[in-house]
Amino acid sequence: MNLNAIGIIFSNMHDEEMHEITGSRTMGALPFGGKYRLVDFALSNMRNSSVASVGIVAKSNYQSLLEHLGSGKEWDLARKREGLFLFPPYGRSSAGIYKNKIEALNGIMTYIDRSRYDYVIITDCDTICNMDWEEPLSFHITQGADITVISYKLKAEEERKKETVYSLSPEGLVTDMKISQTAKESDIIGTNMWITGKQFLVSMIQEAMAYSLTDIEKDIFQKNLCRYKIAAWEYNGFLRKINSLNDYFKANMDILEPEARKVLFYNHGPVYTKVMDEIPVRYGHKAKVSHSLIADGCLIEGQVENSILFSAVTVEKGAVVKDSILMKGTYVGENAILQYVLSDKAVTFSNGRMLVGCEQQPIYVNKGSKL
Amino acid sequence: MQKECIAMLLAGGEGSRLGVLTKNRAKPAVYFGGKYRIIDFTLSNCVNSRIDTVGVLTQYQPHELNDYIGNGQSWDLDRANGGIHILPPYQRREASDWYTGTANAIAQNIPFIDRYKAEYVLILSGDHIYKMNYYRMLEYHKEKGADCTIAVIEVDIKEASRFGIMNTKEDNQIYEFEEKPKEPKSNKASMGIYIFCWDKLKHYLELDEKCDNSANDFGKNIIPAMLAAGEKMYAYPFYGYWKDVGTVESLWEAQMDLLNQKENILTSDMHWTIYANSPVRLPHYISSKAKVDNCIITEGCSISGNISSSVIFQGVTVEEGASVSNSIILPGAYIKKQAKIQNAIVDENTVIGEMSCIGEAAPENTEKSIPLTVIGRNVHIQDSEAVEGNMMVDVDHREVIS
Repeated sequence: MNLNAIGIIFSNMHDEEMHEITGSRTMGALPFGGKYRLVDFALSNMRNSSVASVGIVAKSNYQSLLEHLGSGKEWDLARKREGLFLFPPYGRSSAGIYKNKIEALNGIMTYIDRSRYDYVIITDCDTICNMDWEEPLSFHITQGADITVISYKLKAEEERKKETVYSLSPEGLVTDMKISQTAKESDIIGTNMWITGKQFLVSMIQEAMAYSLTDIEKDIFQKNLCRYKIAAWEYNGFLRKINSLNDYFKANMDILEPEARKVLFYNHGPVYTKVMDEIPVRYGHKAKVSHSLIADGCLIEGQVENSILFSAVTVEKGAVVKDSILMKGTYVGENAILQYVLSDKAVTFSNGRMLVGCEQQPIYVNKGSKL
Repeated sequence: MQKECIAMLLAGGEGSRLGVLTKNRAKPAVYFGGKYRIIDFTLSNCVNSRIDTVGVLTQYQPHELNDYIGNGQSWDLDRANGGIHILPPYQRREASDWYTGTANAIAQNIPFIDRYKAEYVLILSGDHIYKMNYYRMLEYHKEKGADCTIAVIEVDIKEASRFGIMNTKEDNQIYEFEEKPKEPKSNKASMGIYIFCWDKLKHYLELDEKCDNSANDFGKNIIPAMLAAGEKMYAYPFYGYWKDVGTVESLWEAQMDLLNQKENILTSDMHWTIYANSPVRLPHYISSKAKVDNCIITEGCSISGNISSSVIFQGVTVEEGASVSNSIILPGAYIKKQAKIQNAIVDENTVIGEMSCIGEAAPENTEKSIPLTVIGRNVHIQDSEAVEGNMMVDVDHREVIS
């Protein structure tokens, strides 16, 4: 049985906040965890929750995203009826390209309106978790809510900047929300994932367009807390929000822990991604590897510790890679030393090169650089 | 609908010399090289050689192979016109038979080949590891104006009596074929890869079907008959890695070759990608307790033990203190603490108990062959249990490898 909802994924939001690595790709296409891309989490959650129709809204730099998604077959969304829908900017002569989510949703109104399902699930790509949408959807229905936001209660030692913080009534209704706050332990924050009814969404967007509103959170949710019934459903599993380069680095490092991998990648269903046909990893005689994730296609002759290596990374003899994340095709020459380095795709570190960052400030190396 | 050349892959053999490894699966579905199955090499060769229509002739234990092939998408063989077709024996009005031999298997599928109006037919077997451009072989076949072209590889003359040997003239025209000759005249061994002009092959298949005492085999019947009739037959020399993996020993050896940079077929000709139908798995995890030395490990594994000179397939767990050397561990095997595995092939989803000891060390005398141990699928080796060398262990029985 399909879930009674369509999915809409925004692939571009928050690009500006981490412009270093989203310069040449949209947020959704950001590589994560050795072989995945952020959009895989949003898409796999929908697939594993039997959402039959998913629309992906892309605004700019979407080439690598389109390449990654293909027909959607990896997520079982290459269907004759429904399946995966891609919405790159669709500029009409009168309106031009959309500038915000409200305009974007208005632009795909036909897709929403034609759906044969009663609800709509909307998410960005900046939150990674492994979640069953069925639970918040039934919560939304039993609460009789107009909108249900997926919330997350910060755990001990978690501190986050620029978050939306909710105040809730005992029944789980949002009574107040503050935007762009520094949030601390046990604060309840937003995740940019929400559910609403199809008809409700259609009229909400039509009204917003009529008043030229621009921001869903500020202009609609926040200003209508009394008028709309906005509920919050708390997700209490493993969840990471990625709004900065440091968030990104840390979230990757977190999955080096076996327990985190178990819940993020297998909890409610596997995370699917595009299959790359890389050959298995080869370790040489002098290889020394510890507490690391290594993707297929790598060749390891040197030392790797506490790191994540994406596919087809080469670590030559005598090289040392520590506390680093090396994306696809990175080449680490003989005797090179890297610590706290985040290298983008196809970076070359020449023999003997040494780069050392620190935990709070990993060194980011641009795509294709030769050092 | 018309195709210049289509491939027919003989995948029905029992592969009995592989013992428990082919108990429930056809030989082409046997695992190889960390994430592949034997058939991946031939299928990828086809696609890389621009052959997009492949018939796979199945008979023995086909379920796993069928599942694996699926709609052929993993090899880009899900085509609107052509693509991959599984061809089991089928019921016909006049007769219904199992495939009685390699030639009979093709003969029973004459209508399939006719449907594509193929000019040439490439006959392949699914039990060899190699990378080969069949398109070049086809060009050669056309250049020579041959009726049949047989790919050959030069083997050590001392070994030649184990193979089907092609005796050729200077221009590679075959004048004689000898199956396992006692005194070989040449070292050109048949690789079991043939290109035929389809009208010729069809003619000889039909003749062969009428012959009552024929074994309906390409090597034994079709090739000799064509030679006797004076058809133009050429040897196509192949230079490169090629290995028959029909026995436990050769299957093990060929995978040990992957650990040797020079002989690793996966890294030679990297653009000639070998495709596989692999499940999505996380990158593998090597813990701080692990040691990895000269080995191949693929996705989904979790390694805390010592791995040396071994090939580890998807989703294998090796716990702390366990050691694996000179071995091949197939998908999903779980190797518990302090277990010791050497010179072994451990099949899918086996559990190797704590402190158990599988296989034995290679003899110091290098002339002697290495005693290999094979643990069959789903076998559960108890804690502290020992399985010595040259043993084949199945769920319900054990036997000595002959």
